[in-house]
Amino acid sequence: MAGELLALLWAPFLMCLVLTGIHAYLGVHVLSREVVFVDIALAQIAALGATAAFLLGWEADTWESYAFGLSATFVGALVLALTRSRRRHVSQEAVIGVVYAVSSAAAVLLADRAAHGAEHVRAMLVGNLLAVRGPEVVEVAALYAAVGVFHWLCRRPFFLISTAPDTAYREGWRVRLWDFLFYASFGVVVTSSVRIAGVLLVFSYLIVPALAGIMLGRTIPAKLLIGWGFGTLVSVIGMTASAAFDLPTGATVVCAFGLTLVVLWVVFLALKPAPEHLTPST
Amino acid sequence: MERWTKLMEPVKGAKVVAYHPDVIYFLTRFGLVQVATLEDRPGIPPSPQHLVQILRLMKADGVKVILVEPWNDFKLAQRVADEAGAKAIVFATAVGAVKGADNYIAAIDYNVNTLAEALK
Repeated sequence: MAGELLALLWAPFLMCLVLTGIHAYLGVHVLSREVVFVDIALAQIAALGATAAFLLGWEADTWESYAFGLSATFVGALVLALTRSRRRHVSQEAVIGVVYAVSSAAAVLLADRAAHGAEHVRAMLVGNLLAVRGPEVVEVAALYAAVGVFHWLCRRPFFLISTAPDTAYREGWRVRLWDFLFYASFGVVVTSSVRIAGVLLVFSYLIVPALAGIMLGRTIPAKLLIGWGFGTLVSVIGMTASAAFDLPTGATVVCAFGLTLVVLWVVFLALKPAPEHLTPST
Repeated sequence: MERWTKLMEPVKGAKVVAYHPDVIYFLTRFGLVQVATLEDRPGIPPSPQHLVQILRLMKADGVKVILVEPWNDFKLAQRVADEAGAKAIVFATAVGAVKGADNYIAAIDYNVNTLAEALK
């Protein structure tokens, strides 16, 4: 049984490592920008685009469907970039919430016109890791490597806008343009990740390793290394638990992320030096 | 009806796997045997152990076809089918479920033709 399980799980496991690589990095940006639910909003927009493609006759696995999803995501990236203002009257999360609600409702309106439309929308968001095979891992790794190179080239404005937006404005960076490029490249990743692994798993890979990195690391390289290590460790734990206890893989990995984060948090609190007691000044 | 029965006659007794257990009446009508379902708990994605058992069963019984409802995960069914040397095919569970199945007769027609071809 062990050999057969290994044959079934090696490609999904490698895909988990690929997801860890790009998402732990993007998660550091997302947490700094305080736009935690942006991936869910962009995934929903991609699902809306793919639903439109489905209505026009293209099935979910075709490149036309992917192109529709991606184009819709670029529109979402534009909305997110244009709604950022220097003085934050409202949180960007509010805009993200509206984008999510409207794109979900629009997908329902479109799905209303197709047989099995509702199931189609659900399938777009659920994903299934076990369906992953070797060639797909290579394709996705190449795509994310390209996005990684793009982010490496643009690292200065991207990190500056994520961590110190006021400085970016002061130094004269075109913040909206860089924001659009950030969210568009983020959309490329989210659109393909969600099709593979589903919203819950993608959300976990985006947020939890980055949280671990921010909790334990001080510099960006330290946060990234901790995030990557944590994501890899949880992927191993989740996949092993799924195989050993006969559980659905995606949901098991998501729960493994939650449990491991709790353990990490407890260890973090136990090791943290106690703050000195404040005494009222006399 | 006569045409459908005639088309399915040569493949009578063939074993198939369904994604979800909702094609059993159709299979029984034409003398086909559902040996397993890809989904072991309805609505929950299959676990790795269950997929390993399905693969063993398909290889041992010479199963040639996995029937997938249009809303279920075709990509997963295709992976399992490829590893077991079988084919995954979409089953029209309702009118409009697949292209061309615009009425009930057309849906059954599609199912009979596709299955008879895949099981040859």
